[in-house]
Amino acid sequence: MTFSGWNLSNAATSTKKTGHNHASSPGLQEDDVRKRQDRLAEICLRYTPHVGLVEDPHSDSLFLELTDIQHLIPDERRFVIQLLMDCHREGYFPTKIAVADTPGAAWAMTHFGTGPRATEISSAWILPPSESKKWIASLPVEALRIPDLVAEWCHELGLHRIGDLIHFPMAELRKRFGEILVLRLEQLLGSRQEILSPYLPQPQFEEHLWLEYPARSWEHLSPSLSAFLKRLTQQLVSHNVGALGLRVNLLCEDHSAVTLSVSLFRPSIDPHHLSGLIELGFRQKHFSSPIVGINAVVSHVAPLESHQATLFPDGETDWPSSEWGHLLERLSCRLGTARVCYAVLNPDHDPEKAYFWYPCLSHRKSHKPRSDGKALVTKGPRPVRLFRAPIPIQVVTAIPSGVPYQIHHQGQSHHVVRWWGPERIQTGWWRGESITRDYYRVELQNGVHYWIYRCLESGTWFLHGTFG
Amino acid sequence: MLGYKCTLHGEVTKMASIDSALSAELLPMPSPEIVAQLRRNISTIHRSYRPRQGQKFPIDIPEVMDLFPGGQLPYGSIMEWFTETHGTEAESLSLRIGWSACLRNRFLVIVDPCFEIYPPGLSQLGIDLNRVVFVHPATKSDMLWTIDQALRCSAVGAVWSYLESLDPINHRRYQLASECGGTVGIFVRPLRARKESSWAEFRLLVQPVAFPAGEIGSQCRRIQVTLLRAPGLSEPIVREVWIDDPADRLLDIQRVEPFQRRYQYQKNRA
Repeated sequence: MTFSGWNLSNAATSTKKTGHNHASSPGLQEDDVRKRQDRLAEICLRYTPHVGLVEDPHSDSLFLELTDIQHLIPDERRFVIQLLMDCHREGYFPTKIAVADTPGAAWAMTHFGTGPRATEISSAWILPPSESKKWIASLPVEALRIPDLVAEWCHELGLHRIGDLIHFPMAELRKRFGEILVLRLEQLLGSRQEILSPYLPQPQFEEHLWLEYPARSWEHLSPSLSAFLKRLTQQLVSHNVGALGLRVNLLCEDHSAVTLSVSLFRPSIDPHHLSGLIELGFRQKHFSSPIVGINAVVSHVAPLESHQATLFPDGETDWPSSEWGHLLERLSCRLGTARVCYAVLNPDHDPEKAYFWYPCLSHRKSHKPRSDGKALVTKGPRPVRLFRAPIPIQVVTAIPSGVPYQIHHQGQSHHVVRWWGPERIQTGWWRGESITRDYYRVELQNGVHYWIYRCLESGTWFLHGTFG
Repeated sequence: MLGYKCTLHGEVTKMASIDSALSAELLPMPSPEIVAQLRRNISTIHRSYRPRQGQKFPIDIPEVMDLFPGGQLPYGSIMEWFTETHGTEAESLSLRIGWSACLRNRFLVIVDPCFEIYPPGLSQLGIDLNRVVFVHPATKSDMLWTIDQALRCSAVGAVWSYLESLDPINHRRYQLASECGGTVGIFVRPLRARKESSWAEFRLLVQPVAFPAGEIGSQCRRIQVTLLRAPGLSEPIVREVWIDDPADRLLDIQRVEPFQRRYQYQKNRA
């Protein structure tokens, strides 16, 4: 083995942050993990200059190369305690750490380790070089970072643990399971080197400016802001990225601050464009006193895009591609990102939860979910207008659980001419918001179609929507 | 008094004269060069305000397409739909016409401050939600601004909104914006707004028709659509639309006629 006989010569420490889960939005979780990794990397960089990443199915780990700093670490256990304390002090709790010969072994222990841990440290494993193979052997094959399909094949053949695989010749394993299993196994055992790619935290793009004279209006602020944005965009140009999100804090004379958020459709480095969008938000705000300072932070960046200009419009569209983005940017800057959205259908029987809003200018890394008509889990008719809060109405029925015969709404009485239903919707018990309703589509004597329901628990009726 | 009136189409006509002799001295006849120059100027202005003049979109609803000349509607126009209350099918029909305008990957913008337009209902109407953007402005001024901005964007096919009130200035603003962007503005409005002055090229009235007691077994829904205003329309056109409930498919449309004939037609179709 390349690193055998080296006490801590190639120890890899994997830190895993757990306990924070934004299950509803995987994209946000990814962003969140990235931000945490940035901060965690800053902490780790105090100990070693080599903080890196390897191929990781969960993308939630950092690897510290300790080979070159072994003379600075006389006691591994104290080193780990110190690192854990630093992490906890910064709010990273719980954090798992493993010190091992190879990055693969460290990753396996932090994700699947259940064996004895280092004394007095509940979330750390320090694998002595001579015993690491024994510790790893008891871990499941998933700890090899192999695809799920390959892991399934292993289980089908009764190879549940890494120890079951170690005894087989590599050539046999390669023939049966492919290259990936052999690669991971060799990396785990240290017979093949695994390169750490250095972890580079996102550069921070930020500018501050104290105005020479307090600005009372946009016209006063605009010249200073233009120069200010020019400096900020120059920072972006030097990194070949454009701003996708910008947060501008305007500091007032009375020490209050007004924050303007700018979201963009495409990465931009055009100060005039950014200034125009900031103006839209600025004019919607009220300032209690003159503005004395500006602070801007680029919250989201993306690589700059370049497109080949075309002489003729393509066959699919007859409008410039930038127009749509500019409209969304203007609307989002003035109204707020959450008020300009796509609707995405959600396979849920609860009418209020059968869709959700997805902001058009969301900076989540995941793509916008496609809204497919197949997501509608019901074949029943749905109204075009659904009231945000169901309106209580009085309904006359022949028998208590019967069909609607007459409706009293807004002081008027309407006969029901025809009705369709009931469509029983009984769902949501697992959310703690159980609903049990019988929905009817009714046609009143004046020809209007309503969507009404009876709450089966209370027996009361509600108008929930209108058809057309 | 003698004067000259230039129409939007560049025609110069001589106005009535009170004292032709006196006026002729004050306002001499313009030279042909000046007239030609004026015509060119007017034509330039005309073109700049109507970049998509002549572009039309077919209405995907065959039963109502004969209400409009050629079964098509022009881009760069405003439509108003009047209805007494919600639930009369005016919103569904207007939304479907708005969706018809979203050709060539254009988008439908729905301006809905109340968060009440229900996406699953739109999906059942055959509207692809991937090309629909919902805007929920918080104030009236934001709403008016949003409609104007969306109408000016050539990536938008149609802008749909329910407007309780709309002053003539904003109405004119929207008409110019729709001409500028080559979009269609579709506004559903309460019946009382029918008396207001309007810049809309098309105005329609939707009235639900009560179903006769003898037809309870039928699945159809009856509404009456009246085309109140359209270019070249001398008198309103009334149509009766039958909608196949509850799937919301239009079944048939015919002129208002004796019920027995309609009933016979319905039986034949069945």
